[in-house]
This record gives sequence, C-alpha cells and structure tokens, in this order.
Amino acid sequence: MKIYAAFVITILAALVQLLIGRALPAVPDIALAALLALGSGVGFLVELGLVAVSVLILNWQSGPSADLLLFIALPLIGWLAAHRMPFQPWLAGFVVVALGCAAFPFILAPDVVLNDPIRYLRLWGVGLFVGLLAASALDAADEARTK
Amino acid sequence: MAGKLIIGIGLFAIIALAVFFPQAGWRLQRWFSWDNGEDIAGVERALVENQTLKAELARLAPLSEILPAKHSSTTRIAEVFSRYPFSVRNAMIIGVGENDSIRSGEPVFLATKTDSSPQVMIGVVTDVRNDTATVQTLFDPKFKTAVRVGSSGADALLIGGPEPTLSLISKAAQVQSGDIVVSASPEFPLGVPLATVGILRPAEDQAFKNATLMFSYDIADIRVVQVDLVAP
Repeated sequence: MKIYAAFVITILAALVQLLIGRALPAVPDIALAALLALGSGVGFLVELGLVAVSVLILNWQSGPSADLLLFIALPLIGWLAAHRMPFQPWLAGFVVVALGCAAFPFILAPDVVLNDPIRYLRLWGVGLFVGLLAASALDAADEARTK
Repeated sequence: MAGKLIIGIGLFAIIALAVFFPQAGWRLQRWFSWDNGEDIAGVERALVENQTLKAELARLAPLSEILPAKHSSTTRIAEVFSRYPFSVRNAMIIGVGENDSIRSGEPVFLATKTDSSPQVMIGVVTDVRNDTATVQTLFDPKFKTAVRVGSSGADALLIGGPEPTLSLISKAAQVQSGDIVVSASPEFPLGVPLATVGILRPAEDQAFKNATLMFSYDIADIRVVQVDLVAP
C-alpha cells in the first residue's frame, strides 16, 4: 500500500509540475520536492523506481543533461542523508526537502536565482509545502494499511 | 540480496532508457496537455493573433525607413516536442536539427500560414543535435537582446524571464503603452516584432524608464515554430 501510494504521489507531482509549466510563467520543482520527501519513508530501490518514473514523465530532451543528472542525483543523495540523520523521520524529510529544493536551482543557475531571489524564495516555499504534503499523504497511506 | 541487485540494475536501465529515449515521455506529455493545437479554439485564437500581428505590422511601417532591409533567408517549420520542465530556464525542443541545416544562433518565430503574415520572434536556437534543437525563448531568464521601441525607434534592452521586461529606455524617449518592440541586435533579423509595450515606469536610478511587455501569444500553447536559416 505504501509503495503504491508513493508511486501515485510521484506521478501526480510530476504531472502537476507539467500542468503548472503550461499555465504559469514560473514552475516550482514540486516533483523533486515529492521525491525528496518520500525518500525518508521508502526503501532505496523504491526511491530509485520513483526517480525512474519521474524522469520518464519529465525528461524533455534525448541524452543526459546537467539538469536531469542533478534531478536524478539529488533524491538519491537525499535518501542517503535522510536515513543517516539523527532526527525523527519527519524532521529528516523536512531538512532534506528544504536543502534539496534550495540546492537544485542554485546549482543549475546561481546567477538567475540571485537576480530574482524573491521569486525563487516563493518557489522554494511551494516546494517545501508540496514536500510536506507528500510526506503526510504517504504517512496517511501507511496508517490506513496498519488499521 | 541478488534479487534486489537485479531490480536495482533494472531500475537504472529504465532511467537510462528514459534519459536517452524520451519519446515515450513526450507522448505522455502531449497526451496530458489540455491544448490539442488544431482544435476550433486554437484556430480562432490563431485568427485573432493574425489580426493583431497585421495591426502591429501597420504600426511598424514607419520603422522601415530607419532600419536596414531584412536579409534573405530560408525557413524550416518544426514541431515543438517538449519543454524544459524545471524552474531555472524556459526552453523547448523542436523537431529539426543538424540534418535540416539548423545551426546555433538562428532565430525562431511563430509559424505563420502565409508568407505575407508578419513574423513574431519567440526565441533563438542554442543547441543543435542530429534531429532536434533546443530553443531558448524570450521567457528564459538569461535571454537579453537590444531592441527598438515604437515609431521613434527608441533604444532599449529586452530582458527575458517569466515576465520579460524592457529596461534602459531613455527618459526623454517618446514611448507609450502599446508601442511595438522590434529586434535591433545584429544577431537577429532587424526590425522583427517581439512584443508590445505594457506599463511604463521610471527606473530606480530615475535616468531611464522600464516597461513590462505584452505578447500576442501564450508560449505554453505553441505547437509549431518556424526557424530562419541564416545564410553563412
């Protein structure tokens, strides 16, 4: 149940990111936020599967690019970090989402982020919110299974 | 343990396939898009845009005296395959590449159905592969180009981004809302319409004016573009 929920959340996040990209001028990285948040609640292989599904939906060009490699690497690094942090899983997930969502645009285009910090702060906030929402949804699915 | 290893290798293989052969994902993206390009609303929108552009062309006529003639070029029509999905860029992949003589730096326009229709520039080719090319749009934060504004031909700088703006407009320049903005950079055909002036406001240093821009198209709805092949 938890694994199915994780896949559904990931697919929804990726599709919503595509929809936002067609409707609004600025796109929050909510697929990345969901992947980072779900990492603290699933195993490494499941996380790898979630990344694969996201890449399948979001990849925009043939061949690797720095953007896509970072999008693949961050959730896997986040998974390792979340499972080694001496915090409660929810706090570890929160820290990973906060750092990951801030690092992604900043590593890809620091000049763009620094040129419009308010916009990226807002996008970061949306990412953080989506991350918390994804983690809560996964927890809810897990509780439903145990009941 | 061996089972997990096999599953892990399988998942890495899926990621590699998704990276190197993204066509399945593109089909999914297109299917999921709410705009089907050739629907009735799309045709009506195209007609409205056409009228808008013709009006802009009429307003542009006085500029032809102060701008050099547009150099001759041939064009390629290309379908938009996919769009950059993350937050830091605004770009699209189009279905023409090196095999179609496309080169980096070539200007990209809204596809028009007739030769007499005015062209509106939407971006520039930045990266070329065998059968595809990457187009940096005017909505990319790193897009910058010199432009001229209105019938007076006032100089300005167009700065891209989610909401592109005009900056460095001289305080004394006779520019008003609704004026046409045309390219003035040697990298692109001169005098090609890009947008119209939105709201004007003084710059922070009070020496220049800034302005928002209005576009007669929605960049997310574009399905077909036209690339001008610039003669070497």
